Amino acid sequence: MSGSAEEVRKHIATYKKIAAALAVGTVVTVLASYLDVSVPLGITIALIIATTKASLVANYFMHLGEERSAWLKLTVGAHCGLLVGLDAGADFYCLGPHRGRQDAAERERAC
Amino acid sequence: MEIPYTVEARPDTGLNNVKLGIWLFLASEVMLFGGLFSAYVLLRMGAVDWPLGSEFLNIPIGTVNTAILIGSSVTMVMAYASLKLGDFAKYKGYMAATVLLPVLFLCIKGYEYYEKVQHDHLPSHSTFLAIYWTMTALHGLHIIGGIAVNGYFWGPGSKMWHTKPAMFENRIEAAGLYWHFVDLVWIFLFPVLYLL
Repeated sequence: MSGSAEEVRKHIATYKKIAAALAVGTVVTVLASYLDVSVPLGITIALIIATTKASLVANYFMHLGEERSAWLKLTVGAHCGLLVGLDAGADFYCLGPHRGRQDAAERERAC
Repeated sequence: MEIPYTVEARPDTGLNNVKLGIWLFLASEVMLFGGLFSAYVLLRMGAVDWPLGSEFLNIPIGTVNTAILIGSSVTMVMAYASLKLGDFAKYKGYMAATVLLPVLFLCIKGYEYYEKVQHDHLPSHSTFLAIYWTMTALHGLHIIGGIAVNGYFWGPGSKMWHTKPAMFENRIEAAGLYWHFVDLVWIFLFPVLYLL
């Protein structure tokens, strides 16, 4: 955050709005968990709300939206990309060809 | 010898050293928690049976703790804004709240842990509980670290404001970035462990 006292006051007004949005987001997350939906859809809804809340924190409280440093954006972007890649890799491992072998082995053990 | 770029930005990165350092640290933290979240996905997707978080965990308590942590993130950013406005008294007030709110969070978490131990819901009980204890305890350690740092900047460390205000503002910004990250991790932990 940089600038005059007037700009800082504008920021403070924004922080209050973001705080209210985060509170609403938390309530919505809890209410969404009571929806009678399938597990994958439930996970998707919860993660969409969590990601929205996280991006509000990152953009406004951590001032990532105001950062002009390309170096910083590259570092943060690369890490988030790697994280998503890891999760996607884990999903592929579990739901892909390995999952079939795992299920077959479990069926065999059950028999 | 004067350490360069503690306040002004480095020409090559566009960041001062404080911000560069804290972002590099946060990048390593992303990898730490990211690895654990990936482990959670891997274990959950590979499991034949996975319990609902609400079977073991108390959702109202988790919701209150989420509100407390978000509240402390708000007071943290307000403390920083107060410094930017040159209002040191307000800074002290907001910083005190930033330190006390996570103490309340830990007390509630401690009660939750006590309940789990009483019901023999220990990490050895199931994969779900193992990952619950691991992730929340690691997050709790980060909270303790944050309380220590913010407590220092509220107390003895705040003397720097009177001698080197620009450098002190930078330190509070860095402490704030760490604190918001800890809040951010909980924003994901809460639905993943308690609600899904």
